Amino acid sequence: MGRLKKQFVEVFDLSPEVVLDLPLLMFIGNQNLFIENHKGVRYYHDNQIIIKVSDKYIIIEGQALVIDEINSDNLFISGSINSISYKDGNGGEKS
Amino acid sequence: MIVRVLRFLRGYLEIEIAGNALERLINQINKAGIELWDLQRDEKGNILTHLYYEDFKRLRPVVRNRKCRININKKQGFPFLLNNIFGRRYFLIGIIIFFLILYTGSTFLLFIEIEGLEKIDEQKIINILLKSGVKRGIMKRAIDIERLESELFREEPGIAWVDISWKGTLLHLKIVEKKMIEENWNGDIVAARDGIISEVIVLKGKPLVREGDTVSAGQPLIITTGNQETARGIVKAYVWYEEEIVPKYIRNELFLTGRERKFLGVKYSHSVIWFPPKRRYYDNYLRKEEIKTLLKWRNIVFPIELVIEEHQELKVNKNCYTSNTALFLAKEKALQELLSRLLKDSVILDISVELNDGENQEGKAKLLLKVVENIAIYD
Repeated sequence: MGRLKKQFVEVFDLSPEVVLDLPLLMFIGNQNLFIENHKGVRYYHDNQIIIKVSDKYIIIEGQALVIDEINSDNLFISGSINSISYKDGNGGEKS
Repeated sequence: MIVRVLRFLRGYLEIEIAGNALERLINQINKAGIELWDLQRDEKGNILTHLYYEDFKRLRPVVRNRKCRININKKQGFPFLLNNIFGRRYFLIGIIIFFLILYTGSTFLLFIEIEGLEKIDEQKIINILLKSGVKRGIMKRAIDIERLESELFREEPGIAWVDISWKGTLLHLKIVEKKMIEENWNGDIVAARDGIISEVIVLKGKPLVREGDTVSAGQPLIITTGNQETARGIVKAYVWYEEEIVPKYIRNELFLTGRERKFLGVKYSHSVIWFPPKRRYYDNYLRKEEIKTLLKWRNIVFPIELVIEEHQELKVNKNCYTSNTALFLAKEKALQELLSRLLKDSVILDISVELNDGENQEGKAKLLLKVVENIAIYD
């Protein structure tokens, strides 16, 4: 199913984040991060945020991280962001 | 920025959530479609966040079956501001009462000011005002200004002009008095000039002089016979006028050199800023000024004006007249001088001109006029 979808997207030049339910990330310098299509906050602290997206976790590390805005689709993070990484499965240190 | 304004208008709360596994709670809140912003974790591990005021009611069912506490830290935004104002009922009533007092107070006549009185007693004017019902404390509406003006004219004949206007609750009366001419002359006729009487016609009164008499200025000619009547009559006399003018041989001739400078000024009330700075560039110059009012609509004039000043350089040339021309001009000038001194309806009998073209350009023009005129004037 997943492979079929991928091919479908490639053939018709569709945007994968819509069809495949993937997250869209937008960085502004290292100060702002905009995540579209998230699936919830897994862990939140002022130096680490873990966000659940389709089937992975995004780990954002930095200082003084603040969730500027959160609603069911979009997430705005501001602060001084040092790194961002992906992790499969049950990511994060906490539970 | 616009988002902030919208948030302010809708009204929002700053809440503090305390408990365990707050991330899950946030996800649940999100699933319920409640928007959160400015999430922060404080040192105690509590989450500080903001949400719309109307979303707060929807937050209850989400939070109910979880072990966490929610505190409202702040209420911000327009709805709360409005609430605050309307919450202070007596404050609002006070404001309304204040404006009511201000409004009703301004509909009454509280002060009367009278300006421009010199001889007329102020009390007299106040009495006239009282008679037509104008006094302190009456409604402004009750006063008809035009009627009051005509009333003042009728009651006080010493008034030449009156203007009544409102200055808020003050009734301002601007009065100009008539200037009364003093009638203290005794009605005698006296001589206006020195001369020899040629004719005396008495219409009323008693003559003191006869034809052929020499009179000097100010001498009584016809006096009244009492009975409070004024003397009337015509007294004609030969009068001599004499004028001597020293001719001028040097003539100053002015002409423009063609050099000029322009200054542009911006005028506000009485002060003008010049560009370039105004200085005196020429010894003699002709000054031309042009004022341009920028905007004029009905009675409203834009307070800033443009002034254009032009300085045109003048040169003075000294020329010499010939002695004949100088004498002629002096004679003309003497004649002009004499004619301006004559009384009304005088008849010129004789003009004698004496031109003295002296040596070393020290001549003079002497004019002697013999006229017959009515020298009778009232003392």
